[in-house]
Amino acid sequence: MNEDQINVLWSLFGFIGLKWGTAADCGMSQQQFQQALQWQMQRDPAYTGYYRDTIAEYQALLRQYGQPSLALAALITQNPYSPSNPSAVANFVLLEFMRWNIAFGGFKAFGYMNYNGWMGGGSFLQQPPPYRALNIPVQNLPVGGDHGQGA
Amino acid sequence: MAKVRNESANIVIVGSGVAGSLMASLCASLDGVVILETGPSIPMADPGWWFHQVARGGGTANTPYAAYYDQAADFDATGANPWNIQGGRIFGAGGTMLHWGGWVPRFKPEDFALHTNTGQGIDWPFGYNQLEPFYNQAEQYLGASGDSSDNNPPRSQPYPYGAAPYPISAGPFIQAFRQLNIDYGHLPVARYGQANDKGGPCRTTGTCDYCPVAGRFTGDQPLALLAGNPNVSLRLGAAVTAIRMLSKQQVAGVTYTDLTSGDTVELDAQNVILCNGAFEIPKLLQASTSNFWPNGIGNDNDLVGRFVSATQFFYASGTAPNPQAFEEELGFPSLYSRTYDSPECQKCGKFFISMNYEKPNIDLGLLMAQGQSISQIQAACTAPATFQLYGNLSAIPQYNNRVTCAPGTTRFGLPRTLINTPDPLFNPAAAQKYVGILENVLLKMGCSGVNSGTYPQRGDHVACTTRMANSASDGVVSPELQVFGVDNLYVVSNSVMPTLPAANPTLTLVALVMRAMGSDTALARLTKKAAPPTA
Repeated sequence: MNEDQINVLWSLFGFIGLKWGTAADCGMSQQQFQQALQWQMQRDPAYTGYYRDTIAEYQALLRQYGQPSLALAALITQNPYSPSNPSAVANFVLLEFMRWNIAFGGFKAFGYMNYNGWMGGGSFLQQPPPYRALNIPVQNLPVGGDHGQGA
Repeated sequence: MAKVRNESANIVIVGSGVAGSLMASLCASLDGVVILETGPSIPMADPGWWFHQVARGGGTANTPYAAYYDQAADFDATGANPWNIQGGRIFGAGGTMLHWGGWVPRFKPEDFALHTNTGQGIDWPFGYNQLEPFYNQAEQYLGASGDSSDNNPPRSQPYPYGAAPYPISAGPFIQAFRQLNIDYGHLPVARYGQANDKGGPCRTTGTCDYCPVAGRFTGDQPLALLAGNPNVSLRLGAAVTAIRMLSKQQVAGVTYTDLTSGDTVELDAQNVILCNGAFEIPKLLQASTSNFWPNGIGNDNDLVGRFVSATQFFYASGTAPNPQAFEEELGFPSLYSRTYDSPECQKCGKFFISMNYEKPNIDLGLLMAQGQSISQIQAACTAPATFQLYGNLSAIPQYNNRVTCAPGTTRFGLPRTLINTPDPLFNPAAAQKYVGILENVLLKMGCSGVNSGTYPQRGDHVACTTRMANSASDGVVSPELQVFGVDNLYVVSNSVMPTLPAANPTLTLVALVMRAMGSDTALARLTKKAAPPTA
């Protein structure tokens, strides 16, 4: 894929962050994103087609709506994921971009401290640990009442 | 065109999982060590595969090793509850240790005396106290993280790394355990608390099925350290089909098929160490018939392949309110109970309980992809969620349960596997009782819709098929891990375990090796001064 094509996909990735309020927390750089695309295409060449299909659909929507943000919104709206939806755009592009967005920090927007795929947390032995841990001695846990310390 | 090649080695190690890679490391200062692995090299800690795994939502299915599990055509299973071993073991460098969860509890003292305590099976040739010092070494080797103040069972040295604090989601389970007088503790796991020479440190990414930083011990890590060592060679695509004998007491070498060229290789060896797992080792011994051993090597007493055992897993699930948005944040096991993994429970079967650390789970990316709005996803985070407990039930050693070769050959050039289990592996009444206990915990937590069940037997922790005993009349392998009646043939595998308790066995396997190395055994002498290669 050429630079323009990659830029389209990067704009889609960025739009996901804006749409769901995760942009400020997602730390995936454009360089990481581009590398991730390359790895996916190397591992399975079918991804080249998935990405090109996505770009072609976006460009058609751009011609229809005239504005990138409207075209990106329509691309997402028209490609909802469901197990019965065979669309590669939905299954192998949008879903995967969204999971990268979450794993690279977007989860924080939903109140979590750690999430599968987050590389920024560090060792479980550090103080405080990089996840929500029980921070009162377990013998002091109330019996039959509220439990835990909240999100 | 395929041909026959004649080659020689000093020490041949068959299999490259936790046992094979460990034995290769121990022999690494000697000349002519050859590891034969029937599978390929599998990339681990590869960033491209890791990105893919995250993109696909995790799970073993999205890893590079998923392609190297048994397939349905590779085995037959007969008996009351036929096994389905798809997904249970991996053919490749590093072996099944590529996908293991890294649970490293010790066995308990009573586990070494099943026959004395219950009349079932046989006792181990030694007790917990004799193995305890070697458990310490095994925990060092595997990079175990655990609670050093937990003395059930007793321990003489601390874990190399501390235990991860319980995640917040363990709180409701702990409360319920306390209400029900169920003990609990930190489940020890093989996660490097800091970097060591094999991998890590764990960065708590939760993608433990495919760790991006090698923070979980896997069998390929010792092999990577051996790369470039001129003494040790790893031959991939080498399907060992027979052990050849010079005499009743002396192995001449092994025969394997080079799956790349199709050549048959007659590899002579001074010593052979079988590390190819509790399914393949008995099959290989049985298939290695000769005038010296007409029923297969070590099988004069018809014990090879018998007593096949595996862990039976149970679960109980329920739904409870989740106002604090509990989620899989630690990403690996942490909370367990051994209350029913105790001497009092041994007769009907011991039960090892753990919290399913993967639940509650919310796939935020999936919700986005399904078109849910921010407010809908926020609501989903605190919506009622699934909580789950697991239990491992100890296996009943049964003489009639056996592994043998089935007709045909697998895609890895090995004989297909027949697992015949006419006798029950566990006591159904005990299972019902224990599952009821799991359900009770969930009910105490306020769960509704509580349900429970078991899984098809996948052969996880398969063991006991060349069991260790004090004499050939009771077992196949000596306490020094030597096949009875053969001077230069050793078995290092779960297959040597006389019985399979409720706890996960890998730590104990490594401890058995450390024990054999720690005294003046033939295996220890072998690793110190093996004879030079003959050619």
